[in-house]
Amino acid sequence: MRANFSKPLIFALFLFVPFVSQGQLSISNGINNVEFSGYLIGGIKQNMFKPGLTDLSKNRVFIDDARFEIEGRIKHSYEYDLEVNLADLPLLGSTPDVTAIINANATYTGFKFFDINVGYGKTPYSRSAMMPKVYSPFLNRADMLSSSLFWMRDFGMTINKLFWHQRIHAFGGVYTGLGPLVWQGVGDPSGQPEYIGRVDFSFPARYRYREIDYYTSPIPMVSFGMAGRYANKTLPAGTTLILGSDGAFGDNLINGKKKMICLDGSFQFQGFSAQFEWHRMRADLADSTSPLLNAVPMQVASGYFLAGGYYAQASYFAKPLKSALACRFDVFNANDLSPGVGQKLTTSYCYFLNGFNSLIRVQWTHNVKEQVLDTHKWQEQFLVGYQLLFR
Amino acid sequence: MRTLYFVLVLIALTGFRADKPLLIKSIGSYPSLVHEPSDICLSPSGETMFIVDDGGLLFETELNGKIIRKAPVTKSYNDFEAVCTDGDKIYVSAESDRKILVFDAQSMELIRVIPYEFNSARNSGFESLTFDPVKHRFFMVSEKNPIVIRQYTTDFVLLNETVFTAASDISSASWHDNALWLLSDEDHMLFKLDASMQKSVASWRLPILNPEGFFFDKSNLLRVASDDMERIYLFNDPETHAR
Repeated sequence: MRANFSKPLIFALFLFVPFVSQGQLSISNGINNVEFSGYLIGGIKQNMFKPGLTDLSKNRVFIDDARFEIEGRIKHSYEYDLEVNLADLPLLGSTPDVTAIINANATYTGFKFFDINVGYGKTPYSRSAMMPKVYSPFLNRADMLSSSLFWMRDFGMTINKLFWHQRIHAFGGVYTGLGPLVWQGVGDPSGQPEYIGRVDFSFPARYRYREIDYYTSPIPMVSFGMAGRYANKTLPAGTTLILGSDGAFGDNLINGKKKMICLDGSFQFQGFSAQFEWHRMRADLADSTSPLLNAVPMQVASGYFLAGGYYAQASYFAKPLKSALACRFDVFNANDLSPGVGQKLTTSYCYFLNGFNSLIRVQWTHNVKEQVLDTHKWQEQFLVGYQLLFR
Repeated sequence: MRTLYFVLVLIALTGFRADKPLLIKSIGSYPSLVHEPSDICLSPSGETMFIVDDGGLLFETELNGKIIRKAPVTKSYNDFEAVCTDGDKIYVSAESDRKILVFDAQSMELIRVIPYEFNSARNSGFESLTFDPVKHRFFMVSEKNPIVIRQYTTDFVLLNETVFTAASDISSASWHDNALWLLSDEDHMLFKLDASMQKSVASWRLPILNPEGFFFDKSNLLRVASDDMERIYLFNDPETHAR
């Protein structure tokens, strides 16, 4: 979660919007169609600092999202999606990976056997990352998913196909591997793409990417997914990585070969819902002096390091109470050559004023363990967030 | 702070509990040979039914689901979400196109296209359509945000519009027993409305995933189509058999 606290004008919007949001608007001439939507997510937070540290925060307001989206369809064969996050505008230039563009892609649905999507958007890799955040019981994703291990979004081409009455969903694609840095327009010195593939299997019917059983499924439903991604971004002699393309812990793009595998699952029945997700990354380094070796000799490390983690979470939606209670435990190791493993325990209470259109989340996170690469000043964090969807 | 958080959560969860509507249990089911059935209605003969699917196809099938015939493909339209008949013609709602397609019930040829205006999300148009044979009027119901019930003449001149707020969404409508009945996919509920078309006089829970269409057959059996499960479920008359 970004810690930017100087957006009073955007936050003021929350004071003037009604608690019951209005219907989404669309324009259609009977053949072509355009629809407008968006959402706001913001709130306040309180960090409980570790003993001996003094809280010097002056502003506890956060605005994570002020999104506006245009989705359209041209005849029955083309679809497009343009989405921006206005909350990121003040942050542009602060770090290389900040961009206000969330989606800019088009899909051709005219082929009989598959759909093809080209442009910038979510990559089909992680179940949790593919789920729209507005449908999560939590105000933030597990640490390893917050663009810490891989870019959630990238520019590229995705082919997807549904099988067996939509119970099997297969994806495959090729991407730049640069994530949001693709908008800088700087060439990738390696010139190599990243490949991603994913397969979902659901039973007894198709399964949507959701983490709350808001519609209280009358029958037990499960879904399992397996995904992988591979990139060989070995740099030619005399070149360096694009500034910021390696991410917060150096894992997102490395000088060498990066292989990742993800296993995940989801279950829901009568308001109860549970998810798990496991990631493992192997990075074979091309540079024996890489800081990612954390001073471990290349031979001792066998030329590679591992990273990854997992999370498990469960939630229960009590429809008569218009409430959901959720708990998540997540583990993240950004580099096995660096000491420590991060662990966080998060609980959340959601009150649905008007479904997901108007939702209050109250969240508590306990910083159980930390890895050396990722330390926090706070031991516990409380967030109270409000979500408003315009759709 | 932590204690305060958990106390507040506990207070919220120990609030009121609403009474659940009566549950009706299925007495049987069979597969729908039409993939992704999005609505069903009884044909004029009462011996067959019409089914539409998400891909823009209209079928006539036996009541056991066996396909008898299919309307000629209309490539200009897809996403058929509702179907009804007045005896002579079959009326289909092409939801995202915002059009009512009129087919001849004998030949199943497309004979007329009636556009309408409704500025909601593309997939939140009129997903329900039914005909009142006594007062000769059509009912069209939007899916959600908001749920709008429109009454039309046989020439599709708008007569009245009301808003229904008792459900999260509406996926199908049927005129039965001199009342409008509505089916909710997200709530798994069946509603019987009063004459104001704004309130339900009775409601029942249906333990079916993604119910998208329903009708009462000549023997008063309730038949409900599940889109995701691609099955037709049978129920006894809920007004006499619910528990």
